[in-house]
Amino acid sequence: MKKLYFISLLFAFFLYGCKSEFEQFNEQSLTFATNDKSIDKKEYENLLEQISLSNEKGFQQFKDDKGKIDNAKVVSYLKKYFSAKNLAITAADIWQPENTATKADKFNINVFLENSASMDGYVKGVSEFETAIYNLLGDFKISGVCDSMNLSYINKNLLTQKKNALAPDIQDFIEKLEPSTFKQRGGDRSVSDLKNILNTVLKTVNNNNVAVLISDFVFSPGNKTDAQDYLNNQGVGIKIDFASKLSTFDLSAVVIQLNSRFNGLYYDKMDTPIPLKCKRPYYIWIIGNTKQISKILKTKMLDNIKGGYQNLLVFQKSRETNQPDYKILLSNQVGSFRLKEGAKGPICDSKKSDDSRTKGLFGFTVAVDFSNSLQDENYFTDTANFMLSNPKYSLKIEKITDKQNLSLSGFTHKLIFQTKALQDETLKIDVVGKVPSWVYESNSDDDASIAKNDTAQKQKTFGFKYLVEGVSDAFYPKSNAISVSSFNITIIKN
Amino acid sequence: MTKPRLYIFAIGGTGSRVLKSLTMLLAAGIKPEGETEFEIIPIVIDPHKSNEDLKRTDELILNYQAITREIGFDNGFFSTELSTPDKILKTKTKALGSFTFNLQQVAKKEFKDYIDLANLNEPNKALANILFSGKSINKRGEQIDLLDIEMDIGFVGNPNIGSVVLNQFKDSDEFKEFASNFNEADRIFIISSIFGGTGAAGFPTILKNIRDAMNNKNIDGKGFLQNAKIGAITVLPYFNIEKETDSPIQKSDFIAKTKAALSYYKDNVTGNNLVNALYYIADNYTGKAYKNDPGDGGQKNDAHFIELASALAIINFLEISDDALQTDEGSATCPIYREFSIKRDSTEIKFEDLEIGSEKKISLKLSQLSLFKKFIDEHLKSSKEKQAWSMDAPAIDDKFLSQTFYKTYLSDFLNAYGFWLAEMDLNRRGFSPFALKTKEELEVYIDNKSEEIQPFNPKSLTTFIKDKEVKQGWFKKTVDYSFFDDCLSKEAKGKNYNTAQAKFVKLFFETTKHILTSKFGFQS
Amino acid sequence: MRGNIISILVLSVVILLIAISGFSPIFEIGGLNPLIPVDLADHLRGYDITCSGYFGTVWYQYVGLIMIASTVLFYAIQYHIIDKPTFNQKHHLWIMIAFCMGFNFFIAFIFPYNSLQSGDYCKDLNFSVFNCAGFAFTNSVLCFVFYSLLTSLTIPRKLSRNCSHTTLLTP
Repeated sequence: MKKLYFISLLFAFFLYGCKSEFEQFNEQSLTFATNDKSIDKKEYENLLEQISLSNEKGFQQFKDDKGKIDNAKVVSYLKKYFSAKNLAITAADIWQPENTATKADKFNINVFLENSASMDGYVKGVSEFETAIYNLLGDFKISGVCDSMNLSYINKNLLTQKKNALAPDIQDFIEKLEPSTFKQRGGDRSVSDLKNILNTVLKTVNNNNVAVLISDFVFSPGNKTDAQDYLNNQGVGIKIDFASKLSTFDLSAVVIQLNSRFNGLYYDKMDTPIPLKCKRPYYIWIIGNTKQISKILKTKMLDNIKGGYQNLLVFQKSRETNQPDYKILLSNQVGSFRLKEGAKGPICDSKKSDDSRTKGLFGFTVAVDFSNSLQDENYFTDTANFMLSNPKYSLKIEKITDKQNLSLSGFTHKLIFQTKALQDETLKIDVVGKVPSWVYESNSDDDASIAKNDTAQKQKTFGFKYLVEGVSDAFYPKSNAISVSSFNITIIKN
Repeated sequence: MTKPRLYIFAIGGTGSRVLKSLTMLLAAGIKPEGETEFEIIPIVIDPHKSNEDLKRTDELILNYQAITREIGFDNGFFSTELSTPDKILKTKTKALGSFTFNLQQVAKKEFKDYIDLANLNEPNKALANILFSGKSINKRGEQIDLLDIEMDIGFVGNPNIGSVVLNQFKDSDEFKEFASNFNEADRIFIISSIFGGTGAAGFPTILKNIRDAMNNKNIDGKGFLQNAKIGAITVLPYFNIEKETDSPIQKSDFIAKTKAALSYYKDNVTGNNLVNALYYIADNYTGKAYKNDPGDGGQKNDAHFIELASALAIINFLEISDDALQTDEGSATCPIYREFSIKRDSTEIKFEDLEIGSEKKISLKLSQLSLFKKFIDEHLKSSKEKQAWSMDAPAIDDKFLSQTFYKTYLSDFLNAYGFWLAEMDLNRRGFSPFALKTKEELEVYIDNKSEEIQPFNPKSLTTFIKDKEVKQGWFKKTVDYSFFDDCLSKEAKGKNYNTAQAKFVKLFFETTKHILTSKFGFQS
Repeated sequence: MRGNIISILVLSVVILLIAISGFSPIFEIGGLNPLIPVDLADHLRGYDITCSGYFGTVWYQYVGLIMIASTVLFYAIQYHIIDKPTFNQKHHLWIMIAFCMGFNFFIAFIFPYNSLQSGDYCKDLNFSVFNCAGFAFTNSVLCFVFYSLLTSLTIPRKLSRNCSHTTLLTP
């Protein structure tokens, strides 16, 4: 009898003791969830403690490179796990530590509205321009990212309209705007020296101040200068100003292109006024440090702009400190391989395909989470923005839209790689900072034909590319290989 | 330091049979209490060489010796040394066994020639005729005069003839050597029956010869013999004999002869304190009668309980301390007289019918030996080479079982033991403490000496001893052969045995002891 | 004696292997086992339900440990708990091994089968009920091997009273 007891004790001990900590974590979270269909603060903190105390590799997915726990990843995993276990628990049911921004994190926003004469057409009547900006400024206020807002008009001079603006002030600033009131607000409205405007605005940007610049960004060379030279000089000047700021400051900038009804006078490159009634682009620039810009982007305010935006472009100085989360998928293999050490690779036992349709090819798919990047998700669908260390690999990118597929949950894009030349190597995938194509599409080198009712030209912005390229060169000097994001995949044949 | 010796003079048929019982008891490991170990040297004095009993005892002792030669005396069973006289007696006794005293000149000789009647002078011749008048029968069954008896069938109930012949003992070389080898610590025991021929004559003759050693010109050297510690048992009538008018042996004569002998003893044995310890045993049982056969090839008597009890006297004698057996100038200073009794007068004696002393002495050990035999008969074949105890080195395997030790010596001995038990069981007064087969089966068994039939009732292990009940119950293990195997394996575990032979004997000794004490209620 | 040394050597190698790289090389026999295809192997190694890596339930470990523990238990039951002279022949041992193998087949089958039925596995991995049976068969064969090794060693056997000589071939 004693023998039996002893043996069964040993047996039970064996079984219990052999659960990994990660398995215990899974079980514990499941218990918490099934108890009351939610994870409250105490339970969540209990789970956090388990994660922080253990070194098991299962927990590494929740921690960043420095070992700090990323709550978003934890929540994301829990969601996936509960979903797999057929528990209807959403992120809302899981308590999360609030990112209560402390006073120190909040910053002031300086809003600069370019009020040169060319802007009148946007404010006639009730335009999308007014609505969008009014709502955006209102959103800034209620988002909690800023603790104060200063409103100014800018052209040759800086005219501060209101400091610490309140809602009525914003209304006043933009909504109630009409060309007449614009004129009234004063300043030299004749010329748009974009370089100077940008420089003035740049000077206001620091760790406590973010600048929001709204303008049509149309260069006005005038009839005195050669347009091409003017544009070039402006471009270089802007580059120098931005580069100078970048050398001492962790600068980031967001440029969004929006459309609005335009009813007024358009001044072409020769400064000839042309009456125009159509839809025209205008731009909002948000300039600050990376943290501030990141915060603003996270609030998704820009996505909520009334009427939406056409295009977005983000400039960032520093390479993202965190590697994007990625996962090599076992599905969609061209040829065959194994992931002996998990979804981060290396890709082992790789073999080319024998299948008649894909003979001689080797391919794999990587799901990547670009959601934490400053860049827009569309940025990552452009293969031109990717650089591979081995050019023999082809790349296709798909946005992940399938919400049902658990294994893709938490990832934003699928990168599909394929090659004919399979060899042992470490493939480096870089996302580079580039001027996106829409900038070139929106660019106009000669707006003279607007007078001749050139519809296409009406949608473009004269000299826009010079402006953007100038900024781009400052952020991404061609001499350095600066990548916005990067990760490696190791491939082993056998 | 050599062991002190016990010389046993087994006279006549009774002597042989008691000796046989003694051998069985010694084989079971029964021995006298006390620290002194004795070496037992049996000397059979019986001219009736074709005496079946003698033959059987002979074989038995030879087997016993063969067994102990191989395994020694430390194995529980067979733990007493039984030696042959030729160990100490240089003169080779040429007779049947090596321990039969060769009665000279008795083969094929008629008594009258022995006493050389023809050459006696007239007065002596007349005396002889008177002394030895009477009739007897010869070995062919014809009636003859007493003087014409051919002596190689003993003295057929005529101690008067026997005493004359047996007197030659004192002049023999054997006696001379015996005397010179006799040490102070040695003892002597004489077994004889009072109603027979050889026994009745031999006992006082030999006794006298021993006590008179100092005066014997034949021997020289130590005078220990004269003051030797002598014990003796005299077996009075205990069996019934068939009436056979033509036989010289008649039951009615037994009582008369007993009386005559006892009165002779009174003057010549007990009267002058020649014996230090004298044991008497008798039974007035009037049950089953023996066949009346004096002749050649005859006197094969079935074993009887009396013989077993007589053997106990020898054991008892060895337990008496030296101080109580003091002898001075050939005379016991304080002679002891003992009788044997049983608790209950039953016709088939079981252990519980014995007095406590006897029961304690023999019940456990005899049961052990019986259980040993029972296992060998009924279960050894199924266990060998299958159970742990058999496979542990040294192994009890087919090879072992085909060797002489088991195949011949031990098997023959145990077969004889089986017959001994069966005979005592069937006899009356019987001794049947064990559950043996039915009467008919046992008779077949004994008559055929068949080795295929085993004496024990194979039905179950638990009813093997008649008056001992095995405690069984819900939580107690069933006592069966599986249990036996388990006990054997348990006992054998971790023990080192020198040889398979020693292992076989010792293992079973210890295991049967364990089983009997733990399950059958024996006290160890 | 020589058999003893071989068994001890084999067992030590196996234990070392398990300590270093877990149970997978034992079951997969270095990838040569055709009964456990790659996808099932990944699942058994613990590829988790979100297809992110090997931090799910390592089924190999459970099955392996149960196999070892059950083999030791069955062995102990026959040799040390029951320990009877009527249950120590070689055919009795074969009977116990058969039961143990059956038990282990069942265990090794039921775990992946359960995962399959409940959908509790990374969907990128493809394996079938037939594969589960293949794994179960492998486990029962391993059980047999381990049992044979265990009963071939004299040391634990010697502690038994009646079964100290019981092996696959004797008595």
